[in-house]
Amino acid sequence: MEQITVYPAARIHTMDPGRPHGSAVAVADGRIVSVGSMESMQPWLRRYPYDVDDRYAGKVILPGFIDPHTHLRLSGTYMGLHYVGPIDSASPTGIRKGLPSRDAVLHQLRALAAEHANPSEPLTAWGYDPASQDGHLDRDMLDEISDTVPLWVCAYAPHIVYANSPMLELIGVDDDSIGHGLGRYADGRLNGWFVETEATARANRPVAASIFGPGTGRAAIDRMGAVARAAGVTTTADLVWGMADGFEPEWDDHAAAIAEGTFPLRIFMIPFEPKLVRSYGAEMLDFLASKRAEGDDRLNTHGVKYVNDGSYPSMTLVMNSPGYLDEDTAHTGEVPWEDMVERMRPFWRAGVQIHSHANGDRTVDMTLDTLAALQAEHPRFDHRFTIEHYCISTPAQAKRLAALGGLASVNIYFVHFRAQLHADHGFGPDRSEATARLGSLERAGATFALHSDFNLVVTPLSPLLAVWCAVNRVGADGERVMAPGERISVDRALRAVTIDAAHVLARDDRLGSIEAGKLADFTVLDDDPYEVDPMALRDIGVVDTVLGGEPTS
Amino acid sequence: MNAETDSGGAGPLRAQPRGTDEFDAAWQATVGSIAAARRQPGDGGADAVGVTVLTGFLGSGKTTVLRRLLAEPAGLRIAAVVNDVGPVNIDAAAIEGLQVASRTPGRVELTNGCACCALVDDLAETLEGLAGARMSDAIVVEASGVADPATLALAAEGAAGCMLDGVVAVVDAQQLAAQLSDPRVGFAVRRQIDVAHLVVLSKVDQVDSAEVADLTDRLGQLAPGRMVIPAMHGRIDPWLLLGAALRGATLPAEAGEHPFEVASAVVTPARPWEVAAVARWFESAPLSLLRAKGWFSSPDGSCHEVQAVGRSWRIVPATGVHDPAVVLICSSQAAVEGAVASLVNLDELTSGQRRPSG
Repeated sequence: MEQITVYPAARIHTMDPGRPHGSAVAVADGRIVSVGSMESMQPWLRRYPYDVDDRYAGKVILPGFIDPHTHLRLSGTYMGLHYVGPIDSASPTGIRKGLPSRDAVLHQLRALAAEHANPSEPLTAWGYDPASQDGHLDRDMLDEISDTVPLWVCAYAPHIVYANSPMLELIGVDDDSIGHGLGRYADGRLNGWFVETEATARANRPVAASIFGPGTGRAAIDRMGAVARAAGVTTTADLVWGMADGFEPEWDDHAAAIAEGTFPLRIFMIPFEPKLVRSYGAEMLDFLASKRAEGDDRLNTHGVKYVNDGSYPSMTLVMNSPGYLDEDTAHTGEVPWEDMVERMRPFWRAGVQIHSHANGDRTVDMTLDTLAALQAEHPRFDHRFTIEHYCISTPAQAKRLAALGGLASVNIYFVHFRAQLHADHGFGPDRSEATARLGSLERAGATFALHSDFNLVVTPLSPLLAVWCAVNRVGADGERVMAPGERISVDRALRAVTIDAAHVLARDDRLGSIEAGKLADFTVLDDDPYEVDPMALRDIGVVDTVLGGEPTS
Repeated sequence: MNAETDSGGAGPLRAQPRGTDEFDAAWQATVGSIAAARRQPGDGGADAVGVTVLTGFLGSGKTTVLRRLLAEPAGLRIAAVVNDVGPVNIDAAAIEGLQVASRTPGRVELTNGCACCALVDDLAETLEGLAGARMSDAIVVEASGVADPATLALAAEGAAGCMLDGVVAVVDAQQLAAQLSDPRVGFAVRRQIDVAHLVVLSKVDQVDSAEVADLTDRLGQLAPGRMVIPAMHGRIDPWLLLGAALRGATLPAEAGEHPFEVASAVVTPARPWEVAAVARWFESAPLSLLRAKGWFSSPDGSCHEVQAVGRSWRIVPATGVHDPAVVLICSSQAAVEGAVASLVNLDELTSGQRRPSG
């Protein structure tokens, strides 16, 4: 051990129930050497050289937060779209200000064009509303902003796209082009409008290439990595590895971002099963083994992912009786459950952890039936089969999940953001109030984590907000407590974003708590979540994260 | 269209109340549309399989439309891609005189060559699989009630071996007014109507004729230029839903119980037509034009296929040799006669003369 660094703090919560608190943590070579007090760790400090880094003196240190279910690369690509809509709107990176008029939009576009780095890449914006922002844009107007940077502006209801002359060139149309939906001035010149499907498809292609093309996945990772870090996250998992651009390109983007120091997280790539089977067939297990060997503590592969249900906010999940409020709103996808045991068997037998998406209680039943069939056929301990999302469920399902040895990774954010809405729209009051039954899972003895699914569903990425939701279960009106018996303690909720989330990713031997020998990942907070008013949990400031002993600030 | 008059397909300018849900939906639609455009376009050539996107809010009656289409496919082999095979209730179709030829999880095939398969994965890949199998003359995608139809249409447009034949929105005559005023679903319904090439007004037998006229006006305001076709019992003539039904230059002359007068005519070009002139004609075609399909030669001797649905049209190089002929379908006999009279003018444009009018 060449050099120890000691971080003193006002309070350290280790999430190790045996030694729960401390006031200093010592790290070396990326790992934790000791946690306790300056006095308690003297046996180490007498033997090895050390520094005291007191940048976190007065702060509160927790294990680094883990969000075990995100889609950073996929969602980050969209964040390159600038917003020029008429209303203020929440976005993952903060409030986007609405622009009141066409002049304000043109002004904004002018500013964006002036700082646009690469003039061969289109400048993309969305949200323009001709109804409330004084009428349509057109080519000549946009040419005045820039006749060199391609400008692409998509309307709020995106069936019209506006382009300037360089963008028309990039799209590959000129005044002689024919095609439905190409707008023209009275003199026959193209006016820069692309209206309806065929035309917008044409206009979107070069933009899709620049948003999703080579290099953009890497930019997305950097952008979303910064968002996650700001929320205190040090480890996450991508739950649809391979789906967008294929396994190797997506892996390589993360590897490059980590190598160049622009992605301050650990990440586990969880392959999307249908794509894995299509891409590798009989070689799929060998492929995963080779990636595991190639991976390390920063980037690795883990488990396999199934999507067997719809989503909560789009009301496409599958529910048991009495079902949806309005019978015909039960618009759900068809899952070939007949094949599920067969599809999961190779992974189950090989010890590859299964993560299976289930939002509705009907799907939870089908998932548990499948798990029971796998257990009956080939019994396993500690398999960590995880139901992902677990939005609508029953106490009996929690017990059965625990009995079968399964885990849950739960999206808790909907309790606050959407449960009241769905009480009279879709799911009815009983199921809506009881969205995300964490209390039932706890009583059943099941281990669970909290996740954001960021941002395939429109919820923020913030473990402290997830903890706030789990502890308070306050609806969107800010007052009503949704199914009070499903609330859990601050300690249990914090476990669900640290050590229990590590358990779901099968890394609780190395991550998720502050114990000697573990990787030195910390989240540093302004206030102590065990001390503040529970309603103030979401307002605690994240000061910094520490990854492998190094501050990421 | 013309920027100065703000006419054309861009929709009326109107301010609407906005909420978080609507914002979420707009954002999802935007990113979905861009994501769908990632694929390289299909060849879009004349041998591509036409894909009709059938959209409509939950309970609008689109499943009934689809079931009728599978039961009475006008001799076409139609592949229906649905979220869930169950509600299409293909056994009920079988009762109507058809037999189920085979049944596998997520797929049912009928003895008339039609099939119904569940969408379990990526839409574009499903479409490419169906197009590659060459077992279908047309594909119909039933959009889930909350799916963004533009995103599905773009996926169809980008799938290899496929081309978008049209977006058809089924609107419930009994529910439309209530849906439009509901802030939670109004956006989705308006968007379906906005995106559609043809709007089918279902359940017109459940409301009186004055109400039908009112609704038609209302739809006309929401989406100027969109043709509205009333339908009862889910019955729609296949050639309105599927361009593939217009393969020949003749049409079944079946009035049936359709309350809507549909009229067709064939125009036979007397000489080659300029592609740009044909494009101009379709861009400003009569609003009563429901569908068109046919072939024409251009002055350089090449053969082109043209097809139109509602306000949308496309012209592609034809595969094989076809006698020049264009079928027009309009909402009334008078309208189709007017369209024919206007289209035959293209004969004169190439020789530098205009057919004398009147």
